[in-house]
Amino acid sequence: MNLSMLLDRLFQRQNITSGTQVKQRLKFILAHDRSAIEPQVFDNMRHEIMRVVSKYVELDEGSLDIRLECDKRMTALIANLPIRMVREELPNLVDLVTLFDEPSVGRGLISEQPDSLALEMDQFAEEALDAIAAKEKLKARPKSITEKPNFDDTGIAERNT
Amino acid sequence: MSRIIVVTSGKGGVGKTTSSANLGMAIAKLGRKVVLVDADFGLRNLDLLLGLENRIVYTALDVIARECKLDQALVKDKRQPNLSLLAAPQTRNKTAITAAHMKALVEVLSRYFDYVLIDCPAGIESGFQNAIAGAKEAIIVTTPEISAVRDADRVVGLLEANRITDIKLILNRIRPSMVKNNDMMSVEDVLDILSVKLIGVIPDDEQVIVSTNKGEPLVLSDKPSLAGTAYTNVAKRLEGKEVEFLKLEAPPKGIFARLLSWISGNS
Repeated sequence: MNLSMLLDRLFQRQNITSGTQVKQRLKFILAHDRSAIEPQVFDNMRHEIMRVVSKYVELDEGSLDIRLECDKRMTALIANLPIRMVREELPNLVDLVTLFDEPSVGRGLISEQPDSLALEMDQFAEEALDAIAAKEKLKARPKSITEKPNFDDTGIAERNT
Repeated sequence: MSRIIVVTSGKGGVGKTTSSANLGMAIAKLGRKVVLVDADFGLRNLDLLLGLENRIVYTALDVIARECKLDQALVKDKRQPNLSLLAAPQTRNKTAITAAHMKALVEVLSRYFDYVLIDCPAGIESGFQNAIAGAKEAIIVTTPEISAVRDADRVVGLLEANRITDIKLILNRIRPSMVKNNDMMSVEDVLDILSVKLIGVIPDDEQVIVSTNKGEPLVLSDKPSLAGTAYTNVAKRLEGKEVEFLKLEAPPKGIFARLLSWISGNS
């Protein structure tokens, strides 16, 4: 503890202790967890909000903060969407759809790595996942109809056809 | 050559996630590029300890389900740009995540980061199997309690059965005063039982709770706490440096405490 902390404590000037901080953070998190909104639904909503707002302004995707806040009586959706710049003209419809599906230049999540590296990484991930999907399909194929049902998605699809 | 390390324990609540967060941050501070992968699907908490919970847009599940690119799902820490997080989903539905998926993700990440740290869920079921799938090394976190040490021993066996033989131990929540009074197993006691290479001893420190409250790993603090220094030392040892273990000694009793114990007769 240094002198300023001691003074703060003596004069009860302490601004935010970690105890109050944790209460606030927990409130946010529990509001999420307890709200009737499923995490998946909330994620979808978040993506859609981003998509709509991005139609008009360019968002700083790394600093987005969208959360549910709970008061005693009601839950509120709080969104903090830092704007990088206002779009001069509206992107056309095709661009809009791909805005969050395609990596865009300067997305900045791994800004220290050149963008080509991030793209290459994405490419590798996709190939690896492709390989797994292909393997799973191969495994599902020889199964006969009389076999016990398995819980593999691809297996069920195979039998239905 | 990048390193893929799973942080595991068997027993829950021994400080796996705290250790992952602090180690990740400490290694990143040493100038290495680190990605933390939360493998605790359904019960994610790593984002909370890092204070990144409000910045998560996509999770590992979205990557596996092809709903986003891998790069999009990486949340970069603003306080320490060398550190990224791949968050776990809060629901475990739709696509069943397999060990193959985890292995693929981890292997791709390892090409772009110096360290891939995987925070393993408690238990030894499928979540554990998925988490260790791509790992080349393991750090076991345990506390000097009978149940934690026993579970750690089981996990050592399971890791070796899965061909992960490079295993190191972090002994968490040591209380020097209790060890001194022989009320707690000492570091040597635990090492004797587990016979695993020790890489860190973390003292029981109230600052751990304060730091989780704030969502700021201990090692970020300007004035490092004892536990924070201990984690930084673990990071340095991982980097191959020889760092002496902290001398954890019971603080000398103050005059009042001595008087009290003298009065109550158990000095």
